[in-house]
Amino acid sequence: MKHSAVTVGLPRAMLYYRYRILWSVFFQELGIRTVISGPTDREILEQGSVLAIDEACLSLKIYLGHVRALVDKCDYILIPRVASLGRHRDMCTRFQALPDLVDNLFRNSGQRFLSYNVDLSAKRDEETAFLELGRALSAAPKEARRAYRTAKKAELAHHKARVQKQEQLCHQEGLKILIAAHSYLVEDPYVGRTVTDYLRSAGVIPLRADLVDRDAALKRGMELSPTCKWELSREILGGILQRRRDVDGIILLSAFPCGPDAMVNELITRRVKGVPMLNLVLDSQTGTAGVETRLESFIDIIRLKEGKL
Amino acid sequence: MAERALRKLSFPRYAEYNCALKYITEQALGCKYVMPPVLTRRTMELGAKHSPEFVCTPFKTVLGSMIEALEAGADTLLMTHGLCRLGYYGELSDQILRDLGYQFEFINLAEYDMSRKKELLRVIRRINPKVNPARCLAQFMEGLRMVEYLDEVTAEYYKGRGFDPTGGYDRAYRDFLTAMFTARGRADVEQGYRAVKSALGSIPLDKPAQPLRVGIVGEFYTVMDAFSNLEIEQKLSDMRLEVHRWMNVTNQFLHYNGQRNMHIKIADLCAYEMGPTATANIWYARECAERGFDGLIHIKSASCTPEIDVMPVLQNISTDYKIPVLYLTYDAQTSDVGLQTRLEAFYDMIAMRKKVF
Amino acid sequence: MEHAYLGVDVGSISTKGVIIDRENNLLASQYIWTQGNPIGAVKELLGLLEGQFDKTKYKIVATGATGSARKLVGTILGATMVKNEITAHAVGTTTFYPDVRTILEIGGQDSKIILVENAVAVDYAMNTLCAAGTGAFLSSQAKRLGIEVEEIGDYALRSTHPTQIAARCTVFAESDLVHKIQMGHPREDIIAGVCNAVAANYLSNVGKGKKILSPVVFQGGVSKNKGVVAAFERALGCKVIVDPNGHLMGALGVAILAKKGSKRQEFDFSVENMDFRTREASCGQCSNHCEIICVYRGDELIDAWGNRCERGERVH
Repeated sequence: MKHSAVTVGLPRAMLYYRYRILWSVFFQELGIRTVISGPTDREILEQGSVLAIDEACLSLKIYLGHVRALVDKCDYILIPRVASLGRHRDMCTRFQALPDLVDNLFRNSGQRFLSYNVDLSAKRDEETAFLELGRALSAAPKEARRAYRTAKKAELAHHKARVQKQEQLCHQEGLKILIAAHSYLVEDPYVGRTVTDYLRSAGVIPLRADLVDRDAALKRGMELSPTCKWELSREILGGILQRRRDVDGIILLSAFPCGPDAMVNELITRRVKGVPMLNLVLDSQTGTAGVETRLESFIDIIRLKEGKL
Repeated sequence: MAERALRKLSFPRYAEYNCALKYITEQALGCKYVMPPVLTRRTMELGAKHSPEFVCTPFKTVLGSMIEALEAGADTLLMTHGLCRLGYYGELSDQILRDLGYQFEFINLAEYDMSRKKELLRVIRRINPKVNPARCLAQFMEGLRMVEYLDEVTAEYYKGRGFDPTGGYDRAYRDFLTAMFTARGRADVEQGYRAVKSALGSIPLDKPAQPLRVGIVGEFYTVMDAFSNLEIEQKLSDMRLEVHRWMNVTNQFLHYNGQRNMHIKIADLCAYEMGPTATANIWYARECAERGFDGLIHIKSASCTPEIDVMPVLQNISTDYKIPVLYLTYDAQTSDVGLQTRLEAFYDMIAMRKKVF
Repeated sequence: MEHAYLGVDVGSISTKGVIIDRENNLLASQYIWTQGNPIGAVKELLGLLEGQFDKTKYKIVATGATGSARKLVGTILGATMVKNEITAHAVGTTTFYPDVRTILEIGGQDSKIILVENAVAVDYAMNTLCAAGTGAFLSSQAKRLGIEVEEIGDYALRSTHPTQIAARCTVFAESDLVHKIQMGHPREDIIAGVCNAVAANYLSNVGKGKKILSPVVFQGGVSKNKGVVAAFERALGCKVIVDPNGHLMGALGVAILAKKGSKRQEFDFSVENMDFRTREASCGQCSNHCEIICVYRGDELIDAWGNRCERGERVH
């Protein structure tokens, strides 16, 4: 395999948690080196907060911090635009704005960015987008198609393995709590991971609503909310329906102020009954102390209810 | 057999467009339109009380207005689809209203694929199965014409009213709105339009050679709805400013000169469509800057994602063209006093700049 | 008799007044607490100014009012100029610092930034939704820590390891602060952390997207706090000028604006002995229920405001 001299930077935030396998295998197949920003820490969050409009969500602040950390460390930074995956399968408009948002914020940095555009409402699917991405990196179309298909296969296999692991956890003995959250929040080591870590330390098995078979979840999501228009929310809705009988409680975990969550989580609390539910909103300012107190009391309530305290 | 009573349909208050909705409901769809009461603090309080905290402010206003429409006797509520969170307003407000115990039929356009003619017909048939499609279409077009007139007159009104010493502008505009809200046929609409045009045209304006001009851009609901933006256009024109706003239903939906063509002019600022109204707002902000306007005002409700994401682009336009931008965020608690202070200061600043530069 | 000009700035926390001559020299100046009573504060202020002022040499020919109570105070004083505090601050500061490029201002409940070019304000921004990081926030945190507001600066400067405090939102900040106290952080580090947070919060909210150029002048009640000044200097990497009369800039600015204005109305301090009263009326004409403020001198209604529409005109 020939190696090009180009390096592509991948911000470890937002859709990275969904597409990291797709991206890394795709670039690897094309012989392109990638660099990934380090795990989120206070410095990254602070840098991102300086860049972001104050009212923007925590996840965008984190994302911009990661972009900042990659400036001058690579030839290109990958900022994808994922707008729509079909009817009632939109992404939050922020994912639609991301490349231009970053471009405008960093226009004096001299950094070059790379993007691809998935927008089924304009009939642009993922494969087309990746062929274009390949072209921008001077890869032959045939090469790019092969790389994309290999990468997609790897992504699906990886996701399937993660879903299987969830199935196993489902059948384990012990208190189980389902976390309904976007992957970029729950997996971020500086914010969401503190929640799963705490649950484990308290002897609880955390399950993830978004780690389910995606096609099935998309369909089931419609049962709970027929006009829910966001792909990621629909997967989570489907995941909740699929797992609610297996778990002792549900945590709706959200980044402040997440647009879709502000509405969808309200709907979930109004429509999903009969299982203890905790609404937890994480902000750059929420101290871990406050979160732990709320988690602890939530677990206590469940255990009391089940007489296991 | 007694005829089934007419369906009593309502749609929440939205700027002054309810006159056209009333017209279409009654003339095109053959239902009774229940006019929701004018938006007041009570509407906002009702809506905010029953809404999730971090939802965008228009949701709260719209929910409050739906409650008031139901109180006023509506038995059917209509809600639109939309490209941002607006597309989910319907289902969530429906659920909230049911939980509050209201009984009504909810027609949520988000359940239909409105890009298809067949689906549109399905909606119309659901509203009134006895509708005559040809008559319906003709009257529907009449309603749209009312929207066009409304937008045209409103733009002219705010551009000139600051320089009208007689108060004639206010009277003519008020009379025009009354005419639109009571119109029952094409003749009434045309008559109201001609009256306001000739009234506005006959008032001699006391306008300086180079008046201060501001352009207003922003989020689709708050930028147009005077109650929601605390009557910003009134306040600005009271200060003798020429107020320009491109964003309205006519420009955005009826005459949109092609997303693609507008985009060409701002391709250096953004490569893609950033949000439902982003392209138009960025294009118009730059247009105002290039035409030498004295300032820009960006209006949005708290936590409006697409408009937050437009702000970095506006900041760059501000830097490139040295045009000041006032960013205003409205939530259920935004005070009139705070807004007045900001607007006065903005006025003083652009007035002093104009003298010096 | 030489001409003099009175400027009064009544904010939520403090009330400031100056009398200047034609060359903008201070003839009298005073700073007192508003204590929730703007009318009483203005009367007290006028008494104190009168004591410093040579009535045999000067007469006041124009009066300006600014600050959040400008309308009320303007009515009482019969002011010839009523201006918002942002403009007043910009005018005052650029008069004394013609080269200034950036004015930072943190007051009791508001904070703002004004960008200046050639002594003219060209851009400004104000805090959007809440009062976090303003003077009111600092004094409530000082109280929680059991120290006087005036001591904050000295405490902060003693710290070598400022604690990280979250100050974007008052509620979050308070819980964070309590948590940090309970974790055993030294008081001076927490106070320095609060000061840093105020500066950082200001820059990322009010100062977002604004190019802050030197010379920078820092004003408003919080500028008296050496801890916050030091935090700004660290964050901006340049010197931050705090004028000893910085707290008077709004009053100075509006006095200068009154001088520049065309209206003239002699002012003789007699209002000190008049009886002013405000009454709140609720307009019942529509469900807005506007609260209308009526101002009386003795039994005479001299002004009223607060209605959103013309319907309210009939109420009082």
